[in-house]
Amino acid sequence: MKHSESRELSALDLYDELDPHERERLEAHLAGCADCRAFAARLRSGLGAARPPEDAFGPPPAEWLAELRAGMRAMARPRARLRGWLAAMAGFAAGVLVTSLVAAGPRQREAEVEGSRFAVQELPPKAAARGSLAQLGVLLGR
Amino acid sequence: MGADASGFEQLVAEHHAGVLRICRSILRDDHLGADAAQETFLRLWRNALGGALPEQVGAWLRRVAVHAAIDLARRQPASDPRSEARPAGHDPGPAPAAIDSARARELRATLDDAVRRLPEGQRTIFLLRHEAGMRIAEVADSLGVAPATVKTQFARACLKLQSRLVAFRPADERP
Repeated sequence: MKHSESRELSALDLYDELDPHERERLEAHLAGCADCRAFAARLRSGLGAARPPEDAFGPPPAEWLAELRAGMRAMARPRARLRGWLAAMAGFAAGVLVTSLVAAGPRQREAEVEGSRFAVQELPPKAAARGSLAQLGVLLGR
Repeated sequence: MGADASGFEQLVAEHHAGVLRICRSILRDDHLGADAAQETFLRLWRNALGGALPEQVGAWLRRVAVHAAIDLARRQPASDPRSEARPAGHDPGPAPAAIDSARARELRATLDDAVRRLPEGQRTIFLLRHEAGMRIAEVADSLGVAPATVKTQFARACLKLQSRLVAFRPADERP
């Protein structure tokens, strides 16, 4: 094993990140290498001594939790609005569909004007407008 | 709110400390760490609203916390010094249990300075292992990198930092 590899393994050993095979190889190297043993000792008193203090976190602070809840509500609101909007759109679409179905089939509608009966056939919008003019002509006695 | 808010808050209580520790280790700042932790839980809540919580919530939270903290760190102005010195408006919970000696604090300050000089990838890996206490395998999973790569980069970061700590002398031992 090269010294450079031994030093990398010593660093990993400091954090208990060696697998059994790596540990075995490191120990074999250290047994015969005073330089790497000295390096491992310096590592323990250097980086090993600079471990962070154990942070003892308690439950989430009230202020932080209040902000989180506000964020959660803000996220839930657009979804509720979206659901309402989708429901309204679905209702509108259903209305348009029903109206279209009713309007699409040619059928007779009867209207009674000043005692005389006449029939107006349901037509597309432009034709219906012409029909209205014709109807107006009838009303005007043409 | 639709999804089970009280059940969600139990999850928050359970994972808050771990998520905050990860975020603070990367951001080195109480306020920013708390912001990134909140962002992490809000992303989980968005999933809950969509009707799907991840199967392994702990691992999912670690991954999201790491990336939320990295994103937030990158959005900080370059001139903004990372700041243990900043006044802490956010109370992250009880103060650290251990009160270190002056020497240990000095050593950690020297280490902090050296950590700042590491390349970003090595710095993130080192902080997640050293500060947040994640295992190499967890760091690899969170970053989406092979464990062998994380292991190598972590070891190299340690050696760089050790070389800078060699020059460290506590104030009371300086000539």
